[in-house]
Amino acid sequence: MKKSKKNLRTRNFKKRDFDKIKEEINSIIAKVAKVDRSEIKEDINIRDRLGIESLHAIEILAAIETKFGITIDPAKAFEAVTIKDLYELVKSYI
Amino acid sequence: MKFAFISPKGSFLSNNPEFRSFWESEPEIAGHRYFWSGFSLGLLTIAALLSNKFKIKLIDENFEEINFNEDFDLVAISTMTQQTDRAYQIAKEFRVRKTKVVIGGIHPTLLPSEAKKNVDSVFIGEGENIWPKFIKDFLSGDIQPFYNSNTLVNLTKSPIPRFDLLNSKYYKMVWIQTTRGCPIDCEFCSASKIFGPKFRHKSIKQVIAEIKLVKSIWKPLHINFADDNMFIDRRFAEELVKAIIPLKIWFTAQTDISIANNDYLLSLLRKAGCERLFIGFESLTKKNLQNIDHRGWKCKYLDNYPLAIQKIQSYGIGIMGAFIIGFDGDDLSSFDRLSNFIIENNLFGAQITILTPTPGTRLRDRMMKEGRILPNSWNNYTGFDVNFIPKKMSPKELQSGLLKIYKRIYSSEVRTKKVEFFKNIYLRMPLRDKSYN
Repeated sequence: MKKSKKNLRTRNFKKRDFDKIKEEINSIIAKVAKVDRSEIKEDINIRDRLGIESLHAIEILAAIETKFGITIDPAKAFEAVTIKDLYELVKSYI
Repeated sequence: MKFAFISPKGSFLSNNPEFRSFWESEPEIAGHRYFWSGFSLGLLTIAALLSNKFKIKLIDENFEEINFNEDFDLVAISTMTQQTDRAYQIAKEFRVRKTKVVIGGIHPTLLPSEAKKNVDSVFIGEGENIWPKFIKDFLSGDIQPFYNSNTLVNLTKSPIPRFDLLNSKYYKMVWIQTTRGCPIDCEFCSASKIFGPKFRHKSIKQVIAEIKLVKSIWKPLHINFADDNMFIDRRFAEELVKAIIPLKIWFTAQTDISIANNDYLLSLLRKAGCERLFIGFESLTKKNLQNIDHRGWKCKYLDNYPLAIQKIQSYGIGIMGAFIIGFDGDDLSSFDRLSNFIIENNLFGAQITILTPTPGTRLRDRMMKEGRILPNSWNNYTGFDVNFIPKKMSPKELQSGLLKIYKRIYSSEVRTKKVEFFKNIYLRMPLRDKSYN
């Protein structure tokens, strides 16, 4: 896994709790998928319930990378089925 | 009174077993199946012309079986060519039970005499203008063999299709039509034979009402605009796309490559939620394009394809490229040339179909004269099966060449390349929230 050690935002996030990370991810998903944040629950299927497919997923990936200063392996990102899977994936890079 | 509105089972894939097996095992292209499997908008539209005293049961045979013993006063079927063999079987079953059957859609419009042998009445052309007359005749027990829509429908008077009758669980994408007609008369195109060359559109108010209706039914919602070329009238297109922005939807639209010349419209499309543009490139060979359209409209853009593609993609919009293989100018080297083009230009997806001599087209007339039409049934007219003798290869080579292209462009290496390409575009762009949050 690649981590951008130079990125200050990553270091900042290391100090924050996991809930804050989740909040940031939810915010990105809500904006890209055009859904209300209240619809984003940990156990829901990203594709079936939020309609996030292909290009949406890439856009979310890019936004997460920018936000947290990380580079995620796209293959791993596309393995994420639920929102919780995505949280855990991002957490593993921070 | 109870009416059944039926969409017959169709093959949205090739009938070739090797091809089917590949498609069904590839999740990325399995999406093609649901992309093209929406319910007939024609039936939903004429359903909206009926009053509440008529009960309508929609049956999409791709998702549910028909109970031929259920009592209906009338069965209405809409069919494309590849569904037609099944449509006639359905009609036969109901007529044996003394139920009247009426048929419409592209295939019956193009071959009304053939259709009439299998049903009680045939609709020729658009349904809105002829359905009220048919219902009047039906209620008085005096239906005519043919109902011909001699005048073009004024789309601003067309009702909102009865989307509420659909089972939303069946459809991942919803089709909405905003325009009809295309001035480019391509040799292979049958849609232009039903809608004609005159470009017509619904009002923006109508389209917005349709979007709001489907948005209240589907969650999540992805709209496919059904128009063959949605942005021909640029002024209308810009106003429509602006009106879509506040609705917070995602959609795919079909258009041509000249949209790359309009940065303003592309920026609006991005804001409005256009995820993909489905663009008909048709061929990469000048001679093929000249044969398709004698006025040379498509041909003049050929040399600019790569730059135009880049421009559209720079707005974060993916391109689904539509190509046809099997033209008279295509040979065995065409398969690799096409795959290379799709991969090099990072097309997000591609739909490559085999040239199909659909009834009513100039292409079929020419091939009939040349004795090149293969004696296949209509259910082989899927767009992914060979129904004619190609000029520079055998039918078998054409069929296997198509599969070779799909295997190459949907390989895991190409998928990774596309993801990296688009990720880099999105990394350079502001998150798409700012205009509406």
